[in-house]
Amino acid sequence: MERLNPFTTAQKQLDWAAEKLGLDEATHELLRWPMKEFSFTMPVRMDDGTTRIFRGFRVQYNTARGPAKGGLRWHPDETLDTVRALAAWMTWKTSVVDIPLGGGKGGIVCNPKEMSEGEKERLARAYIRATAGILGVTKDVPAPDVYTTPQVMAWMMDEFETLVGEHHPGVITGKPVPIGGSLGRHDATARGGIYVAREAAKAYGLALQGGTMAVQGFGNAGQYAALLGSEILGLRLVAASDSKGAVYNPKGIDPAALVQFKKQIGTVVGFPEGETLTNAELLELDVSVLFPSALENVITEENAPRVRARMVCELANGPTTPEADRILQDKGILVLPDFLANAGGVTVSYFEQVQNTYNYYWELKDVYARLDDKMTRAFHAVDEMAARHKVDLRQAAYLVSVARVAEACRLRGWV
Amino acid sequence: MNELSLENLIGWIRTYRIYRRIMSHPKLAQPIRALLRRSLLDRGIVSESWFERLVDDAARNLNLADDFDHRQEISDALTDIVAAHAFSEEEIREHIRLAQRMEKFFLLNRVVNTEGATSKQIKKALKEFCAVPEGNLPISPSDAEGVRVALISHFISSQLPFLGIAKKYITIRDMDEMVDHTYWNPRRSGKVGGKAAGMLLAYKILLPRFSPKDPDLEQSLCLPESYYFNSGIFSDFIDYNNLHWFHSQKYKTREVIEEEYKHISELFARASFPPDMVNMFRRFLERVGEYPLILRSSSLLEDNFGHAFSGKYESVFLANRGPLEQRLEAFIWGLKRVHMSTYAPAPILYRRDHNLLDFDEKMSVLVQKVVGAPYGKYFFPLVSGVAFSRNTYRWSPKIREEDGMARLVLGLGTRAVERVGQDYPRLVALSHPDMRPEVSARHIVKYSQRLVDAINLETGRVETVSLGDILSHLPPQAAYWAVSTVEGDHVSPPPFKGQLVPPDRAVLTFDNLLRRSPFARLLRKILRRLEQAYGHPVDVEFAWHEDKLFLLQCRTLSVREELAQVEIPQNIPEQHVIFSNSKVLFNAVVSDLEYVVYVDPKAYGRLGDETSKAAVGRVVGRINRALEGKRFALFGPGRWGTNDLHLGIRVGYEDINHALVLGEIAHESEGVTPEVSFGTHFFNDLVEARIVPVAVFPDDPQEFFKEEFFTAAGCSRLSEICPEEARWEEVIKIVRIPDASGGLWLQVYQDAHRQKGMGFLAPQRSSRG
Repeated sequence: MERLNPFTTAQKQLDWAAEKLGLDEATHELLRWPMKEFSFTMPVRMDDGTTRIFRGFRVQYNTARGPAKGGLRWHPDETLDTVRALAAWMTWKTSVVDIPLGGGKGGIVCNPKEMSEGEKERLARAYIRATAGILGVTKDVPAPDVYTTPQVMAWMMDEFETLVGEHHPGVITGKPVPIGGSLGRHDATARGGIYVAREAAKAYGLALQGGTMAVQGFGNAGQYAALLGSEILGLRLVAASDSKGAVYNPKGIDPAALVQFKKQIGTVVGFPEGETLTNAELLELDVSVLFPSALENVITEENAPRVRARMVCELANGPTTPEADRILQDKGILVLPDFLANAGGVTVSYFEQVQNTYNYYWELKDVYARLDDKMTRAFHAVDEMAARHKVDLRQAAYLVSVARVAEACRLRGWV
Repeated sequence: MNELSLENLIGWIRTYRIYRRIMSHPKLAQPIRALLRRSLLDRGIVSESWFERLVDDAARNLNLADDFDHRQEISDALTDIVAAHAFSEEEIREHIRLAQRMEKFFLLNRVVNTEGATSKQIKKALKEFCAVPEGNLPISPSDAEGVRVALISHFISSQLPFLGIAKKYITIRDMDEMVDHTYWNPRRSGKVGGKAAGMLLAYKILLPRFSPKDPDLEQSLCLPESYYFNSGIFSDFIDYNNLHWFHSQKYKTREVIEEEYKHISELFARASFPPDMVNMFRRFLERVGEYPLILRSSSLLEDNFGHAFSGKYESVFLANRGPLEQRLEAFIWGLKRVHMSTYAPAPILYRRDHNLLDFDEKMSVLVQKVVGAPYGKYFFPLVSGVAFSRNTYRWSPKIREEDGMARLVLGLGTRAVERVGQDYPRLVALSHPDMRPEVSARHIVKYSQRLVDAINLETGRVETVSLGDILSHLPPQAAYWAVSTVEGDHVSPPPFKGQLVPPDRAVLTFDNLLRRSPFARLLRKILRRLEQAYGHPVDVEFAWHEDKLFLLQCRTLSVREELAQVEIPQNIPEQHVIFSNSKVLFNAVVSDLEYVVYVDPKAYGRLGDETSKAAVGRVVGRINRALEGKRFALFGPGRWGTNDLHLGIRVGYEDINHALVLGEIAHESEGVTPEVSFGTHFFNDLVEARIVPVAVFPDDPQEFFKEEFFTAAGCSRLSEICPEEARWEEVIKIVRIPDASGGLWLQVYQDAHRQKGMGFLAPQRSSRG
């Protein structure tokens, strides 16, 4: 099967929303393309004394609502079109949670698996030297993404500050906490999803207290979903899986014990208080909430008819294929779409930037309270949109975010 | 009387004194004068012809017959007179001492080359030689080499390839030091065995006694305190207990060996060492004190060039704490266990496979103080592992094969050499020690070591302990080298030695060790030098503790002779492709496979209890024997040979040794998985036995596995080939390829250069012999 160009997909999604919202042609056309694109080369001295030339990109898709915001990817197969598509999605994501930022994305064609720490550092600094003029708290703020780590962010921030000669911690988010990272980032994605699930349950009359949950993908987001689902929503964890298989116990699994087990053994399989299940069987369990938390395309046309969860909270990116999505909607299963359900991460990134800017750092409880507020408002805005246009939550989330960006463009007098 | 001038008289008195001094060593008089004459000639004081002429003139003058005795007499007198004139008294004494040393050397030379000389006699001669202070002895290189070779082959190893290298590096004085650490039986001679030999030789190659030493190595490289209990002790033990019938054990069938091995343990428990040996063990334990010990097998065949015997014989850790008699009891049982493993099925079958069965294998035991320190109730080295001079684990083309690789673990090295499943040692490409294939925190944590092997000083056993538990005992100064902190996506090693890493956020990365210590550089240097000296790739086991690198073992490594190039045939019809894989370890072509033994991953996963899962390994072993001589491949889920039944089938080398291809079907959905079995004992066995390992990741879009070819109803031959195992039909299928494919055979091509492999059906190749 030929792979779809991701940017074409992003444009199609926008086309649908534009039609639904009745956007005028100019606005539609403006939102179909990145506003600014930068493409550059970076010479980097390698450990063996040779110099390699790396290619890099930065796309500022739309900055009508605020400075561009989006990750920086290091990947050997990076293309400008991937970066464009991801920059578009960042625009919609910052808009749906209503934070005053636009959307951007960057990338470097490189393979970090083949680079030493020294080479990575020199590449990170080279990227900043190439982009310093277009970055800044008021222009464009990168963050970690594929194969870029908090350490990379720290080097980049340092290079930027060296160039401009003053402190600007907010130029990059996702930094290590000792140099300006925000507390609460570790569980932000899962926590945001849990808040959205809580609001959705209230809105749709689902009783979660005492209900059950299954977590597909017991990685970082999945583990926190299990812990917080139990703590905040009163859900009982009955199953969890990872790449090696799943563990199941209808009477309930202590999430903290399972996290500990996974940490020691490396997998959930073999957890003493449960039986083994396959990943496929887990997806079909009769539970209140299913959290797909790891991979793309796990709920497909093939298995969607057998999904029995009442609610699917998409913590992973794109866990449900479009065909499966329709089947789940037809079955009346409430799907909380990824770019709403997992927007907690970008929201706390924004909080980091805010704290950096006024140089005063919040306590953890403040981060949680503000995140709750943002996610709760975002859900209700989406839900209202869904009711108004009689569309599902995924479609509604698009409508909310595109409408907000379009409105900002209009108010600025661009269109 | 002019002649009686004072000056002349003093000259004669000097001559007389020299004569007296020489004659006080009547047996050495000749060698002493020979040395004096040599010096006179060397210094140009006299010339050969002048001396000869003088002897002639004197003989004539004195009217003596020109015979040997007279010439000798005159020559001696002349030597004394000229020496008295030319040398100071101190110089004369120096010549006498030199002759004494030479005498010791000739004695040693005579003893080591006397047939039937006992170890005791040799040791005495060796001691006497070495008691003379070091100096430049005018020994001919060939004489010295002869003595070295004789000593090495008496005490260490008489394997020719070993001798050929060892004689260049191991000196007579090195042998003396070794003998001081050797325990033997007065009734039997014996050698220290392969493992001890490999370790000693490697150390001497790296730090030779008489050549300039590398300052890096001199500062950091050491051997653990080692003692050698030679094979005579074991032979004597067998005699003393009348256990000779064990010797024919190796010629029995596998089933009988396995069955009878169960009883050997009881027999050994009852058998005893002679009292003089027990006393010797007791004295030894008094000498080393209460310090943890490891008793390592060091058999004659083990670590023989080309046959690694990876992990075949037993090693025993002893906490060695408590009252002397209690320690003695544990020590004796440890010795018995190591000795007993000579008769275990795995090494016997290994020898059978490698045509080593008729060799009269003898077991020595290398006893070492365990490298490490007590941390709380646990004792372990900070880092241990195994390293290879050739790196076959290259995830990037820039990684240099010739710089080697290492597998590092925290704690005892047992975890580095066994297939431990979900627990991952740190694999290091020594050409790029701070590069790793995992980038995100999630993957770094996932592919890290979580369990640590350590000696529990309270229970006296080796225990596998969680990293958290170990870290709670480890001071930050030690943990600094091994751990990093994980905070969400951020992994960072401690910035300074006093930094506390909370155990619940710690991950083992060895980042500071690899980036801020000379460890990687030293290891690279060591591997390169050893490979040069051996003329062959090597592997070493090591421990790193308190800034010292301890060399524990070194042996030559069996390397697969790679095909220079493999061309996978083009245009194979799609329906004939059975699998394709994209992570290829070696170039290999295995043609005309007749059978595939297929353990169905799904059916295996459905086996609920551990007993059934463990039984699958035994059935595979039985099939392996039934198909001996046939060309077959084994395919199964996950990792063959792992200890963890959830991850793969538990088999030993003897259960798979007749297969030509060993396939691992890994349903792994998280991208590239490091091949963690590189360098384990199990993997070494595959390489040596020329079994081609193939890993297939069916979830990877670039790969493919045609499951239905094997699961199609009615094609399995299990009930024909192993009728007694027919009930396993659901889980294990044996497919005869030509029957299932209408006359085609399975061809397996692996191209490491292009990282592409394929198994496909094709007519039988005629080229195969």
